[in-house]
Amino acid sequence: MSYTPTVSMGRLQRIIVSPSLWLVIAMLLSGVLLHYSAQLRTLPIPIRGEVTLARHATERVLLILPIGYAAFALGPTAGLVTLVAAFLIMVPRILFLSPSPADAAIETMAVTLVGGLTIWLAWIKKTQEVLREKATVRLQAINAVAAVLTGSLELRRMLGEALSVVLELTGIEAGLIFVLAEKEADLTLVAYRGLPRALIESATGLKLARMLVTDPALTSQVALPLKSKGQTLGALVVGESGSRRFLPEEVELLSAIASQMGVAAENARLHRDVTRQLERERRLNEVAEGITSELELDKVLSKVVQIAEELVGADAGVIGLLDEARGVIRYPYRHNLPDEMMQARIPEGEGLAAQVITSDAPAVIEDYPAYPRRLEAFVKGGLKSIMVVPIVTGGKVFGSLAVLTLRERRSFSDRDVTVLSGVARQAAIAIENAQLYENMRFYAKQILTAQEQERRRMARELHDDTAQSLVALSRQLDALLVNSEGETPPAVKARLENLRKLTAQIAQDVRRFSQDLRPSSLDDLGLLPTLEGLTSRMSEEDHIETRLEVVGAQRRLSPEVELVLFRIAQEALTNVRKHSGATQVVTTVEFCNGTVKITVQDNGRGFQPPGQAREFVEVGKLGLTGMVERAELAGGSLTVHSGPGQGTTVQAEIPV
Amino acid sequence: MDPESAIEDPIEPTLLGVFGRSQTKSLLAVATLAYVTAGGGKIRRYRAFVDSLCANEHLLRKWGPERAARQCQEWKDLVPLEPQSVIFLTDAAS
Repeated sequence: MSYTPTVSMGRLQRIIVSPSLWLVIAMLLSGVLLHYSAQLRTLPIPIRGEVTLARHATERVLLILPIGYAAFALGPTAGLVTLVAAFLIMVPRILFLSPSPADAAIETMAVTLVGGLTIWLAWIKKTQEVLREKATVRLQAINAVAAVLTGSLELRRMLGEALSVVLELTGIEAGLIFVLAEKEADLTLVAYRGLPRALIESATGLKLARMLVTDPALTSQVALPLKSKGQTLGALVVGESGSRRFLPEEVELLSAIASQMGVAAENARLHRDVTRQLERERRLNEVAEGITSELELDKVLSKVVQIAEELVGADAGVIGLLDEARGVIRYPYRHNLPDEMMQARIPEGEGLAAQVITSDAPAVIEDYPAYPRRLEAFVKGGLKSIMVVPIVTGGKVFGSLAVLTLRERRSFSDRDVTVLSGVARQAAIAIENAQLYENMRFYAKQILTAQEQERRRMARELHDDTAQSLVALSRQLDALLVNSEGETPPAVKARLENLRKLTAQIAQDVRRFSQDLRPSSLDDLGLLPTLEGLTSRMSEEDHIETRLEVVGAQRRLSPEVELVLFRIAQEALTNVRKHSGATQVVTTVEFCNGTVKITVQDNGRGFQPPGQAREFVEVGKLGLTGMVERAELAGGSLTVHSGPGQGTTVQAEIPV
Repeated sequence: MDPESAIEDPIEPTLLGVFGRSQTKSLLAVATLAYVTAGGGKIRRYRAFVDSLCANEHLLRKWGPERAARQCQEWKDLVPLEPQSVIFLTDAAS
């Protein structure tokens, strides 16, 4: 880059009105007066050194002053003009007046050379100033673009604003910015300025890009790649409809700006990737949270399918579960699947799910209609691309998780496979947890059943053997008292009478204990008569006003359900008797459609129940914990409403 | 043939038949970027487009360098150079 001396009309006007010009002219005229004083005879000062003046060397040296002043004050061009003027002033003396023309010529040449040197120094200074000025302008332009590019991480907005700044700074008419989409899937026009909307809307996609850069609106143009880390991410194209020669420094500036845009575009992409990654992690955490807080597999897996779809941007999803007992794969969790696919029957051992479960490895089919082992029903259903991963944890495969596209074919990246595998792993944990929970429920049921059988056996033995023996003993004591009337001393008689009463009391207690263990009426007569017996005995023995209400059509229920309801009511009434201090208790059995509700409501002192039924065990309410477990094992639920001074209501709802 | 027509047919259908839709779109996107940044007239841009396609590693892996170069030349021949762009090389000193 160099300084090229140019003089425009404006600059010429500025020079004419400049005092420096007139100072230079004054200096030159002074030089003329001194140089030709003898001929002009106008100098008022008498000059005595005639010999020295005869050589006129001093005036020649003095002429360097206006040359140097003009060069530095008015510019190298003015200096050059002054040099020419000074030379012309000196030439007539050399040619016509000087007694030593050779000396005069050498002196004149020396003055010209020194003047030239001064101009050259002024030219260097000026060039440096111009370079500094241009560097400042370039730096300002880059700073202005950088300020815009760092102001946002939203790609379109950021590049659009940057393009506006570029055009404003350079005075170029129009501009375009193209960016390669992720995985180079497309070349997108992300910003344009100075071009009519109709032109932009006249085509789409790659054709639009090719059309715009050859449009007459950009007859003169500069196109620069947007690069980051050696990779081309897009292009910046600026231009004009007319003829324009782009200077090298303009292209250099645009190139620097394009590099900045490339880095900014890369940053925006990284930011978007990080945001997506965070979103993925959030959704995976959501799944994990769902799994740890929700033991109902149906809810968890239905959510898993939808989250998997969202995370990889698919149209539909399905979970296939391996039924090991039957050796088949079931598809209970499906989302957005078309009817054709919902109704399709997949032959045993065929299909991608079977392949993935067998191989324990993911499968990706980007073009399903062209897949050699395709199922026609799926092709008819519109399946374009599919990705399937095994649902596996701890080396055990539970099934497969698939996401698919229905609108258009797409490729799935390694990252997509990793993300889906992560979701599938969470699903596997959910299934394993659910299976462990089911096993636990099974064993709990077995224990309860064994407990009930043992209770029944003990109740029967107490009722049939122990209670009967006590009754017999009581009768024998009765007989002894009657038969020994008059023969037995009064003290012995009194002790026999006490023994008889005690025996009768023990027999009654044993009967009651037998009833509590397992009332035979529950098997023989059913729930309602047994509850009637339970509540009336409570009235008699504990002096608490009890009432049994029945809502809905009465009917016998299965022995298991009747037993669960009875045990809950029995435990609730025991709590009323032991802890509530209640004077009234109402037991309601409600026969609903598909369920039976039993409610025990008292007017006792109440208590502050914990937030969740599962927390009863933590506050030492083991009876309530047992009731909750019984209700849940039967597939139902139990709620407790209470508060200090507000009585207590226990309600269980069991499906029938 | 007009460059745009050559891209639409036979280039795009040929690529679709070999690489499938998504890979073809990716190849065309990168080649179009070369077209955009090439500068000059349509023919010069078209040649940059074809050069970019034939230098693509996916295409080279699939076809190999020889077939890629042959195909590249075939596609370039579809759009002849403009007369003013032809450079005659001779032995005579100028």
